[in-house]
Amino acid sequence: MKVERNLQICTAAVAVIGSMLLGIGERAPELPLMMLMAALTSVIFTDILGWLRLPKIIANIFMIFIAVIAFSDFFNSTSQLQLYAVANLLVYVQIVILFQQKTARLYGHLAVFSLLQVVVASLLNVGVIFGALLFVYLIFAFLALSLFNVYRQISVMEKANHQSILLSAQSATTNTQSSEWAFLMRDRPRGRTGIALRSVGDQTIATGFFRYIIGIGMIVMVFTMVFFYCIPRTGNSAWHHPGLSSAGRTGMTREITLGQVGQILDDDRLALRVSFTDEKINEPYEVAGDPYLSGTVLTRYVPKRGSSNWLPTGLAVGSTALTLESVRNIPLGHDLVRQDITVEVVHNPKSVFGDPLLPAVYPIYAARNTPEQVRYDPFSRQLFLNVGPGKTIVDQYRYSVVTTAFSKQNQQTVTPVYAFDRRSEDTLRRKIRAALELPAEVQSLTEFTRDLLTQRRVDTSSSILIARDLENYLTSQELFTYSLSQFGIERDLTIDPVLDFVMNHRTGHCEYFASALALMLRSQGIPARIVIGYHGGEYNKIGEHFKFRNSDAHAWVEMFIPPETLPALDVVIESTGLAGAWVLLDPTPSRDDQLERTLYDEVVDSFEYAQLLWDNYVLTMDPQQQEEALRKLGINNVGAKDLGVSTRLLKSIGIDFDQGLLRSLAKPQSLLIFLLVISLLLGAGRWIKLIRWGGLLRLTRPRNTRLRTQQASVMFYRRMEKFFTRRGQPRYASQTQREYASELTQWLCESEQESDIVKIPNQVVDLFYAVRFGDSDVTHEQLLVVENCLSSLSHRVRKNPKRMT
Amino acid sequence: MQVKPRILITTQGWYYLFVVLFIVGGAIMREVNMLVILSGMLFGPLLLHWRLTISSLENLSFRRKFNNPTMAGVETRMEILLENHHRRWGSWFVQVHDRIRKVNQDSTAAASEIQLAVPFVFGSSVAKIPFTWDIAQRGIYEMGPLYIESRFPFGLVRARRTLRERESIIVCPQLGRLTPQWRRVIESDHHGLSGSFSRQGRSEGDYYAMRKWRSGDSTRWIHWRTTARLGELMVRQYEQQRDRAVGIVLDLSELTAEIPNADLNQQNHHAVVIEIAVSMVATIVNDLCSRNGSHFSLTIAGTSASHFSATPSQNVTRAVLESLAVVNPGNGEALRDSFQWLSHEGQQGMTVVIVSTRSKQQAITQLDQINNSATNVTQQDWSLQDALWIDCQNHLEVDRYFQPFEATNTTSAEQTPQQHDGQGDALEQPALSHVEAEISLATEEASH
Repeated sequence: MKVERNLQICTAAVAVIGSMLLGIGERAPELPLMMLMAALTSVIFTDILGWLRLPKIIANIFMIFIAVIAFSDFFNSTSQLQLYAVANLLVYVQIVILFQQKTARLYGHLAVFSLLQVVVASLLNVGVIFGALLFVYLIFAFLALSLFNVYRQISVMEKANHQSILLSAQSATTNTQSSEWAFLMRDRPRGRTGIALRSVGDQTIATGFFRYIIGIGMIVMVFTMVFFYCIPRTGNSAWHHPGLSSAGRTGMTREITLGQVGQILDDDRLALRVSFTDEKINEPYEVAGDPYLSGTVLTRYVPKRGSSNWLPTGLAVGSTALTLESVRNIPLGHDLVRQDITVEVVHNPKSVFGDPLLPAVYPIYAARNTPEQVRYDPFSRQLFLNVGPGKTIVDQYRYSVVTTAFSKQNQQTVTPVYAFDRRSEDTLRRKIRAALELPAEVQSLTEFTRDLLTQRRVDTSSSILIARDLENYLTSQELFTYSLSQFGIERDLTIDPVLDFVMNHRTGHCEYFASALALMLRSQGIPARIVIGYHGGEYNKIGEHFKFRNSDAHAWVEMFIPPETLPALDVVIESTGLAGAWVLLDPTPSRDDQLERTLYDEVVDSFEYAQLLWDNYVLTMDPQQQEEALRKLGINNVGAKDLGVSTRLLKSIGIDFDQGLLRSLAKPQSLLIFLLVISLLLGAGRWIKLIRWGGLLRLTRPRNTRLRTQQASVMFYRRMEKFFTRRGQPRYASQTQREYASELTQWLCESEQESDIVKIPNQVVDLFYAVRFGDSDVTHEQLLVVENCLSSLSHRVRKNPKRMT
Repeated sequence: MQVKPRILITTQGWYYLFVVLFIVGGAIMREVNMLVILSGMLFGPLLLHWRLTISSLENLSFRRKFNNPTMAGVETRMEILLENHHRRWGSWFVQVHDRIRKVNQDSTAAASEIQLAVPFVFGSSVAKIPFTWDIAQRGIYEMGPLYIESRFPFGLVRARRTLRERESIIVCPQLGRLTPQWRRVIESDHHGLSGSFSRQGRSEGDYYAMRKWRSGDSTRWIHWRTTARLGELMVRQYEQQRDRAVGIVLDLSELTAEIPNADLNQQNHHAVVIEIAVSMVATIVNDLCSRNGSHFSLTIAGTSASHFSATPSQNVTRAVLESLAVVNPGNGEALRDSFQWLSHEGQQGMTVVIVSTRSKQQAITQLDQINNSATNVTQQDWSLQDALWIDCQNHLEVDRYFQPFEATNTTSAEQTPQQHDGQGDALEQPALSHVEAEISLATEEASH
C-alpha cells in the first residue's frame, strides 16, 4: 500500500526535521544525526524489509530506561538544561517508536512527540534557518498528517466492512443450525466494495496529492504571517531565549580593568547591527570607513596594586536619565542620519548599572520612532534601555536615534559641545575636571611624556599637535605590539599597568593603548577620557547595514579642546553657544585585514540580511514594531504610541490584557463582542455567497471553457480534445466523439499530416468509447499505446508547428 | 433530500485543538514570537481544513443506482453516483456509507453497512462507486440513510451530507436448479396426466430472447456472434405455443399451525423449509417461462391465497416473483381457497404440482377438519391423489426435484470507478437465468 509506505517515509522525515530544529536550538549536531540514522534504518529495516521490529514489551522497557535518564538529568539541571532534557527525551522516545511496527496509535504518538519537540525547539531557536526549516517541517508534517488520515480512514472502513461481513455470516449461523441450506436464512446482506479500499488510497495520493498539500502549506504560511502580525501583544514577553543568553559573552563592558593576566577571547558572536538612513530623504546613507559606535565614557582612573580600573563618573545611571531631545541645530555641512540599531542585549543584573547599554554614533538625538524606553544620561554619556522594575528582559532590542556626526559620508572626529545655559556649563566643567584627574600612581607619566614630546620635537603649545603626535607614537607598530593576550609578558607588578605598558613591555590591546594616550594627555593638562564601544564591523552590501561582532568591541580616547583651538582643526562649526569639542583619537594600531570579496561573502551577506529581517520583524516583534509594520501597510493613526494596534483595538472593546485575559473576557460586553465577531466570521461564507461572483467570473472565463465542461472525463480523451481545441479545432456540443474524430481526421489529412498521425483521433476515440460506454477497463498496454499516440502528436506539432496551425 | 454538510470536529481534531489552544495560549500569554509563529502554523490548517471540507462536499450531489427488483443469491450490483457541480474544484477522498436492512412484517432486521470511498471527483464530472450487496433472503429491503463524508485532508474535521430518503428494493426468491427428475415429471405423461406438446426447434416459433446455454440445449440454437462477444455460450430462445398446462400450488403454513409449542430450532428449521418451498416455486416458474410458452396456473396459499393464471410473459413472471418475494406463511387454511381456485381456473389435463411446507397427510387432515371432505376440492379432471405433492420438510423429496444454489458463487470484478458525465444506463446484472435477464430488461430504469 503506497499510502502506508509514504506515511512511513514522511513520518521519518518529520522526526528528522524536528530533531534538526532541536539540534540547531541546542547547538548539538549529534541529535539530528542520530535521528537521521535511526530514521533511515527504521524505514529500510523496520518498515520496508520488516527485519527489525521491536516487540512492545522491549520498546516499553527502553522507554522507561530513557525516561529515568531524562528525569535524572531534569532534576539535576538548570532551567535551560531542563528544557534540553525534555527535548532529548522526546527524540529518544521517537527513535524507539520508529523501530516498532507502526500502527495508527504509534503514528499518532509520533505526531504528538514531534509537535512537542518543535514547541521546545521554538523556545530554543532564534535563527532565520529555524524559520526556513520550520516551513519544510510544516510541509512534511502536513503530508504525514494527511497520509495518516487516509491510512486511518481506510483501515477503519476496512474494519467496518469486515465486521459487517462477519455479522452477516453470524446471522446465518445463529438463525439456523448448520445445514446445506443455512445460507437461505442469512437475513443480513453482505456488502462488497467494487474497488479495493487500499487501491482507493493509492489513487488518492497519485492524483496531485502532494501538490495539493504543498498548496495548503503555502496558504498556511500566509495565514501565519497575518496571524503573527495581528495577534495582540503587550510587550511583556516573559521568555528569555537561551540562544540569546548573554552568558559567556565577551565584548563591550561598562568598565575597564587593566593589569590582569589573561587573554581576551575573540568572540565572533553578533553584537549589533546598524543601518544608516538619511533622515531627510529617507534613503540609505552610505558611510565611508568604519564607524565608531560609542557605548559609554570612562573618566575615572582608579589605580590599585598591580592593576587599575577605568570607571564611569560616579553618577548612577537613572538618576540623571533623560528622554532624548530632538536635534536643535545641525552643524554646517553635516547630515542628519538616522541609525536603526538592533542590539543583542547583554544583561548584567548584578551590576548597579543593570540597564543594558545601547551603543550609537554620537552625538545623538531623538528620532521620530525612538522608543520611550531608550534613555540618555548626558553626564556619563550613556544611552541605555530603561527596563524598569518588574519589566521583563528582552533578548534583542531595536531602536532608532539620529546623529549629526556624519559629513559627506564620513564620521567626523570632532564633536562640538554647546552650553546654552548655566546648568550645561556646570556639567561640562565637571566633565572636564574629571577628565583631567591624574592619580599619583601615574604622575611619573608626566615627565615621561614631556621628555617624549621634547624628543619628538612637538610644539607643546598646541594640544592638538600633542595629541596627534602621541597618537602616532602609540600606533607605531615598531614600538608597540598589539596583542589580546597578556600571557608571556614580563610585567612589573610594582608599577601601574599603564606605566608598565608605556615604559616596559609595550604589548597590549586597545584598552592599554587608549589608557596610555588618555593618561599621557592628562599628564600634559589636556582633558581626555576613554570611550568604550564598537569600531570596525562588516558592511553588508545586500542588507546595507553594518554588523558588529563582540570582537569588534573597542576602546578609544576623546580629548576636549576649548573653542579657541577649534579653528586649528579646520572644521566649520556653529559658534553660537559653542563651549568646546571632544576630539576622537584612536591610538590602537590598526590591523590591515582587508580582503577581496568573494561569492561566499555575498552569500554570507544575503544570509546575514535575512537574519536581520528575521530578527527585526519576527524574533523581536513587539507592539511598537507591530504598529510600525502595520503603518507600512497603510494603517495609521491607531492611537496611543505605547501599545500595539491590536491591543488597542481590543482595549476599545473592553478587553484589557493588563487586567488579565480571562478577567477581561469575562466582562459581559467583551463576551458579547466576542460572540458577535465569531458569528460574523461564521456567517461570512453566507454573505460572500450573496455576491454574484459568477457574473464576474464569466467575464474572465476563457472562450473554450464551456466546451471543456461538455467534454467527457476520460483523461486521455480529454487531453486529445484539449490538444486540438488549442489548435482551433474544438468539439461542438452537437458533435459526438466519433463525429469529432472524423472531422479531426479530415482536418489532419488536409493539413498534409502523415498517415500514422491521421489515424490517432480514431484510435483514441475507439478506446474512449470502449471505456466510456462499453464500461470496460483500459489495460496498461492500451493506455501505453494511446500515450504514445498522444506524445507523438505533440512531438510532431513541435516539429511542424506551421503545418498544424 | 440532500441536506447541507454537517460539520463536526473529530476526536483527533479535539486532541489537535487542545494542543493548539495550549500553544496559542502560551504564545499569547508569554509573547514568545516563535511560539506565535508555531501557533499560526497550527491554527491555520484547522481553519483551512474546516473550509476545504465543507466546500468539497457542498458541491456534490449523490444518489444510488440499482435495478429493482433483484434476485436473492445473486450479487446485486449497485453504484453510488457522485456528481461534482463545481466547475473546477475537485473533491478528494470522499467516503460513502450506505445501509440496507430487511423490512419484516413486525419489525425490521439489523442493518448491514458498507463503507466506500472515491479518491477524487473532478470538477464538472460524475464519479461512479460500484459495490454489490449479496442478499440471501427474499423480501423487501430498505436502503439508507446514504451519506457521504469527508475528513480530507487532515482528519481533524468531518463534514457529512445525508440523503434522508430511503429506497426500497424487492428481492425475489433465490433460484435453484431443477433436476432431470423434475423434467421427466413435466415432460412425460406422468401419473396418468395427459398433455401434448410439440418438440422445441429453431423453426417452431418466433424469436423471443437470448439466454445462456443449458445442458441439453441443441448446439444449433447457439448464437455464435453473441457468444463471441460475451465470452460464454448463448442460445436463441423461441416463443412456442405448448399445449401442456401446469398447475402449481404453493402451500405455506406456519409451524404453530402444526406444532403449537415449537422450540427455536424447530422454528428455524421450518423457516428454512418455507424458503426452500418459495425458492422451488420461483425456480419452477422461471423454468416454465424459459423453456416454452406453456400455460400455467399458480396459486399461493400463504396468509391469504393469491393466484396467477397466464401464459408466461415478462410481466407475469415479474409479478409472480415479486409476489413470491413477499409471501408469508399462513395458518394453512388458505390451501382450500387455492384448491378451489385451481379447480375453477385450472386447465383440463394440467399437471398439478403442490409444493408444501407440510406433508400431504397433515394438509388433508386440516382441510378435512374445515370442510369435512378434502376430496371435494378435486374438480376439473384433476384430483389431489394424482397431483405431485412435494413436502419440503422432507429433504430427500426436495432433492429429487430441486437443488438450491450456493449464495457465494458469484464475484464482482474489482474495477476502478469510471467517471462520466450525464445519467447512466441501467446496471448490467450478471444474469443467471432467463428470469433475471427478463427482470433486467423489464426494469431498465435506475431508481432515484
